[in-house]
Amino acid sequence: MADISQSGQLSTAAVSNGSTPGPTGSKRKRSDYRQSQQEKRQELKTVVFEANDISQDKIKLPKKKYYRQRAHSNPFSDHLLEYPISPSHMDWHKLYPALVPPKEDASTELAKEVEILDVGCGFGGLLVSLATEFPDKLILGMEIRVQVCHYVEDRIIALRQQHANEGKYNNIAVLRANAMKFLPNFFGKGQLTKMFFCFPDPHFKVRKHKARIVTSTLASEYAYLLRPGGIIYTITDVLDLHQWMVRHLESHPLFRRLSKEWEDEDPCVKIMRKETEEGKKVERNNGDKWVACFVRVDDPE
Amino acid sequence: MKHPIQKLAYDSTSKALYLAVGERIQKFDSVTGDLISEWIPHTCETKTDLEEPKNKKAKTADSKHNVFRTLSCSPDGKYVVGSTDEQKSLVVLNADDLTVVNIRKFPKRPSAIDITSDSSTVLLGDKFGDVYAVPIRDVTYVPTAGLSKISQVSESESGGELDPILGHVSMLVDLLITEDQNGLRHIISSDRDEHIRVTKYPESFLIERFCLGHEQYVSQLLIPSWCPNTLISGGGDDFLAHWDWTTGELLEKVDVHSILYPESEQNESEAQVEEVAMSGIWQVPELQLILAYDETVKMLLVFKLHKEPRELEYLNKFSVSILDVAVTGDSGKVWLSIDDTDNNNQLIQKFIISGKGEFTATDSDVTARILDKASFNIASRDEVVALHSIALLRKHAEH
Ligand SMILES: C[S@@+](CC[C@H](N)C(=O)[O-])C[C@H]1O[C@@H](n2cnc3c(N)ncnc32)[C@H](O)[C@@H]1O
Repeated sequence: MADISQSGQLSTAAVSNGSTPGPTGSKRKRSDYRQSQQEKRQELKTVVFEANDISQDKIKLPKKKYYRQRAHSNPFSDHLLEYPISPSHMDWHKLYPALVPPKEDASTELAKEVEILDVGCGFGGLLVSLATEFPDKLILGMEIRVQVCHYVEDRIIALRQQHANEGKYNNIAVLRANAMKFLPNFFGKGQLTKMFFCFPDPHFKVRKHKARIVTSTLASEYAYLLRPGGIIYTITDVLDLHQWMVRHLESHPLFRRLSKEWEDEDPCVKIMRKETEEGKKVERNNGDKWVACFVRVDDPE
Repeated sequence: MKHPIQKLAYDSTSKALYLAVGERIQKFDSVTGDLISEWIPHTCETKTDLEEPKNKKAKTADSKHNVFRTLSCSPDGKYVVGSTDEQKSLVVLNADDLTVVNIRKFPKRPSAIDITSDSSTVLLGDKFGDVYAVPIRDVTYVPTAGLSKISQVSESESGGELDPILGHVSMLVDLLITEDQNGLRHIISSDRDEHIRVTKYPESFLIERFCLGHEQYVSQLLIPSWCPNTLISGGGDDFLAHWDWTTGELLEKVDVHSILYPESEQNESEAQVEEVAMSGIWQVPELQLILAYDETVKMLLVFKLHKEPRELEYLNKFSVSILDVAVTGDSGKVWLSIDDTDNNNQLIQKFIISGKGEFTATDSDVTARILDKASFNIASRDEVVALHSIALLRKHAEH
């Protein structure tokens, strides 16, 4: 336990030590860019952009190259993550300032709730498309990688401002969270109507299969979050992962796989095939895309 | 010195007291203090032990770590069930004579077990968050040899691979199964990530709710028999949580930090870490008392759980270094397993708790008889694995 206090002291010392010489060249450029984006984000994250505000220049969409991060994050480790103790501790106003009143307001009882969740949303392509497909619904992306999350935040800020006249993109937001561990901290029983799992990390090695984001035990948690009639959407370019997800969800008593015909008619399936960044990459490489959708059935009597 | 007794179990019907000492299990008659039988993994097995004497060294090193981490008695009193660390095994013994019913190996280290009220099924949670349900009597298993020939669960169980009935993506730290008057059963499970989950059983695909309110690991769960809708939970938080688990409502947070670290002692050294680490919660139904043990301060706290209004009232504290408590259900009598290297001849003690939560030692003659035969000699404490490790569950975040 001495360790704890010691490391605590060390880290404060490191902070008060003042500035260390900064990086050079392209690294410098990236850190400057990140710094200025960070400042902008702090300021604009919770701003409701007004229509016809000509005093401001259009905010530029963020540049992906400055937000690169190691591709994989260990879902089992203790990340320095912030999450509410329970859904009632969550202030959604900070994420949807135009649509959800501040938590202190008495009207919160009637406030809109997040209904559509994109798990592991990556760079946010799906969110952006869903925003206009479901203008009345609150849509949330969850992403574990911090830089990727920042990119999506900056993207949403820019879109909100650019489209302030039409009031678009106020219904999408992104949160940094480990979706395998903390979904029940954010959402109540039966709150969600759609959950998307687009091109999830495949974790090829058998030893790593428990790290997959769809397993039969996690399916029970997803069934808890989805209301009966709610849908799980999955898409992947890895056949083995597709078969794994189908096996685990099909064998779950609370999910039933939807037909090919259903898939062909559902607008979200179309969006999911085309609009995610990973999906576009697969498209460029002429890869296969495997889709499977499941409906949350009623609890057995 | 003697090896400490890391776990206790008591069967009120037969009045048998079971001790888990290192990798052994001992059975005592708690009335006379006689040692009835003893299970030692290598010697108690049948003499046809087929194991080759290849690396004896490795075996002893192994056995040091293969200590029992949990010990329970089945509700019908017929079986003694324990789980061990290193071999990741579940050991089921006949309560009568401590002969082996079966020994099954699991994919990950078991961390918590409970037994269904009909004594048919063992629920086992592991360090990776999965919970398995296995029949207490595994008909396919024939005990042939010592721990080295443990049957792998995935093979012995119904042919196929054993699937977990529920899972947390976090270390599972405690679990229990409860049954209401209508026979409806639920599993309550807790993890290192502050979650308490309520799941239907056997329909374990149906999560009923979460009890959310903890901000640290939840290492202890208890449902008091006189308040079956109540759940008491504790762990790394400064409080015990008092829930109605049937609704998920947090009725009260009962501060334990201020009891464990009273103001007067506080200003001495401010930098001192004052963490709470609840390593045990027990009930004394005949007095409607709840006992909670903090392994950091080494303090046993006594509370009274009132039904109307539902309230957990602090009564008393008892400064004592213990590893486990076995409640007898008889007029406030409890067995404490004492962990005291200096005064090692006191390994086990019997106390009577008053309605006000005061402890008085009792039955010293029986205790003396038990002490005579309990445990076994070791050269030094170095031979004992770390037994107080709940506090290690506290998270120190990585990025
Ligand atoms: C291969 S990418 C796909 C991204 C996006 N859905 C797409 O189709 O473009 C998978 C993403 O899931 C994120 N991820 C992995 N495990 C996660 C978890 N437990 N919680 C939240 N996000 C996670 C990864 O950081 C990564 O960005």
